[in-house]
Amino acid sequence: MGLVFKFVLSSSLPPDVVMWKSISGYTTIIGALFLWLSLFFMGIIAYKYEKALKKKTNWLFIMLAPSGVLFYALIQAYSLIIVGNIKMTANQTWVSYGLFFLSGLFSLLGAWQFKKAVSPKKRRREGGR
Amino acid sequence: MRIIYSAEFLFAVSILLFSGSLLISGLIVKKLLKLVLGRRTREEEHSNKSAVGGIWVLLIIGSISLILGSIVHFIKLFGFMPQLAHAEPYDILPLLLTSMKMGTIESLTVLIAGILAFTGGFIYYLLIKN
Repeated sequence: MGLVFKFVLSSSLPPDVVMWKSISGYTTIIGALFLWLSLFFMGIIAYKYEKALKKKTNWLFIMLAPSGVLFYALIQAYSLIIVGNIKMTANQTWVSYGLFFLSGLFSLLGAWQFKKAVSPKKRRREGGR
Repeated sequence: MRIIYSAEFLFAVSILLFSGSLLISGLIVKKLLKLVLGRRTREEEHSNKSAVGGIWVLLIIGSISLILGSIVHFIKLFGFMPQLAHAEPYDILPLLLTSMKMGTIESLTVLIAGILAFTGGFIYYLLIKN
């Protein structure tokens, strides 16, 4: 909370705006870290599944896919806490949002592959029936 | 404050992608729980099987929370930001404040989704650890 007050004092914007922006920023950073951790856990679960049932799950891909969320949180934390910006710069926005998007795409792909590995394959009916 | 619409749009779409992956993860955990709990011995069944059997719902709720966050972001992007760009000087502050409050709601949905998904995944991990 001390950092929030530091922001309020150091900025030329009205305190209300700075306070809401700071709360929003910190909540996003913590939320992104939790999101990364939860998707990383899915990678560990996939690893355990592959070891136990000897089915390929691409666990390493699932584990690494959400890394972009971590970079997004790091860039946001750097911009908000270290530099003290009220909003990320254009370059920071593009890099962090781009990584966040790629991470989302890869996480979805990884989850889909894992789901295919978990789901039993449908057998074709013999004789074309 | 310069707003990059395409980047903000990309962010909202990314949240939807994460929502999809949480949804699929929830379905995976549901399937795996059936497998794990089905193999447990009868003695173990007396413990909190039914409570643990529902942890996949946490991931689904997390996914729904992310969808809500994405909707809030789209409303902010298409509802408030254009108004902010063409606002008179005396209108800027209230609009900016509303936009920040919406941003906080959006980040809260991400936080809720993260905590729920983490809790679900962690409980399942504890279940299969041994």
